[in-house]
Amino acid sequence: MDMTNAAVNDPIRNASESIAMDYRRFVTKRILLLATLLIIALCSLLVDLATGPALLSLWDVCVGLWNPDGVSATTQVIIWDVRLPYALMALVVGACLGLGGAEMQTVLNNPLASPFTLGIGSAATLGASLAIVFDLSWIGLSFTYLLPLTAFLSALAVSLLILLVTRSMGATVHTVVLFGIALMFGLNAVVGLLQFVADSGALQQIVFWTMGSLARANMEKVTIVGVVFFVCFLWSLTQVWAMTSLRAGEEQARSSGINVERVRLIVLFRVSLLTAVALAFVGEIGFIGLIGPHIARMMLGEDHRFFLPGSALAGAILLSLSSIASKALIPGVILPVGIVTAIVGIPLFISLIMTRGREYSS
Amino acid sequence: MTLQINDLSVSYGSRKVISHFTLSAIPEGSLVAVIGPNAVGKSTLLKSLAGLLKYSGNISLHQRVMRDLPHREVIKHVGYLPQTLPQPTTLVAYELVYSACRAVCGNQTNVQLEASIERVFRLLGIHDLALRRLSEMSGGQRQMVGLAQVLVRHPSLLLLDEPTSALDLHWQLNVLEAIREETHKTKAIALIASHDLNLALRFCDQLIMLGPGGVLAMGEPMSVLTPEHLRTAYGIEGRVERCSRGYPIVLADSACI
Repeated sequence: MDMTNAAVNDPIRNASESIAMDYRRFVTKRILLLATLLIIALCSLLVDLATGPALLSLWDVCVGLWNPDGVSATTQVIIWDVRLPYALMALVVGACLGLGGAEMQTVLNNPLASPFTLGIGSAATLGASLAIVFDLSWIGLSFTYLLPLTAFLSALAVSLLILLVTRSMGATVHTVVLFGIALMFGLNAVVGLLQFVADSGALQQIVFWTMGSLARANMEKVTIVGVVFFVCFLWSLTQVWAMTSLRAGEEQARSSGINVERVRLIVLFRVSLLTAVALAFVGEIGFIGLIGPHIARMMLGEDHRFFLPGSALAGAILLSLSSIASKALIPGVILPVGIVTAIVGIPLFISLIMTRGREYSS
Repeated sequence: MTLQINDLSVSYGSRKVISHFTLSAIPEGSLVAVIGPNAVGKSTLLKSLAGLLKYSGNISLHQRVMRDLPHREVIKHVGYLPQTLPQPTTLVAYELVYSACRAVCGNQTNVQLEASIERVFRLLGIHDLALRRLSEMSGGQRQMVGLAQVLVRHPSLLLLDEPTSALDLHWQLNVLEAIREETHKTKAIALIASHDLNLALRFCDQLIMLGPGGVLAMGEPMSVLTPEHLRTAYGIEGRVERCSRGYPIVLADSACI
């Protein structure tokens, strides 16, 4: 009784509990939101599995996943071998792009940044185009693995180039962005040149690559992308505090003792890795890395402990929904998912900007 | 504990902004205003003290040479508030202050950190803003949050670059009162770059007046703010008089021709 009285009577102590407590309640709300996103992602996965030319109900899918022997052999093959790699690929690639986009927007302090800002997407395309046009299959690899490999190497090479140049020039936001944009145009021009000299078969393959497609997925590739995502995600968690305080501005972060350039270089490296691996297997898929972080920011704010996982989940959900749409829009036809993300993404992005325009203009 | 600056020079490229500054030692528990016209190196002085710029010469705190201290130590002892305000984002004030501390001073326990954020938010009177997004705050409120971010770390050397530039009269007095209280209580040293001579006169123990040629004067406020110094530094005809309550106030009469 005495103690309660003391707590009530001592305004400092009493109030001291209030801000920290309020903040904890605030954090709990965000954890719940994150959990909601996770549930939505899982639901989207199930619907994705149930969507396709062979009509399966959600119930069939659930049974087939839970107990593969409880459904017919055909259903089992459709769920496990045909649709699951495809649907999981959508989730992991979406998560990679969402996470990469969020980190990129933070370190470049620009809500319009995405993994494509630095031309990493174009670099992946260039790598794939080179393999197609010069028919590198003599190396002994099938195209299934050759394309991702060259795309990845090329994306990584370009990323390293960006890192080297920006590091020697001081890693300011302007250097990174300007160099990235210049590089993107340059790479696009080289891809254009390759398309110009390519024969019609090669040309078709390049164009198909740039449309982005999940159709080339298998469990092995899903595992590779998944592992890279997981490692990068854990790694990014080691820098959440620095990235959060970077949101108040570079000078503010620097004055609190954060080595801004170092954080920026590490993050750029990580984003390059995420993007290169994700795009290597699916081709160009835009907008996920741009819109995912915006949705996460609106729901969860910018404490990176929640913003980063939220952004990865939002990216995963977006690509998974796009995957559903790519199968459902025209019955019997699977559209390249990159086209769907662009068609759905642009109006979504514009509406996001419209609703939040006031904030950007301030 | 004292702050000593000896023969300090700083250049941006080939342009020398500060050349051979030597100041008399600043004792602990003092609030010192750095005043002077634009572009004489007020911000540069604070930045180099914060270890954010390359300099030649000697700066020592606690008899320890700053240049030789590891980054971690410098961060622990020095709190620098930049002139730019925290940008308006969806971060809430509490998150910003909390994460800035977590990012660098990992040795504080959560309980300690929460208590010290609490104390500083109350000291500055911004506890109502703790869970508000920076994008929904005014410039002045964001400036207060930025100041809270610095004070939370209990630095023994506070470097505040125009901490009241975005504040209304009430908050200007409030903030300087809080800084003075904090400085005297924790035996810290606060250097405040400012354009507001009256606030400096009212709150600070010492003034450092910089002019185009370097340090023009340093010492007791009344001895620094003389008509001659005002003329040399700012190019104005001015005087210091006592108001009806006995506070000294600076009056600027006209610009020199």
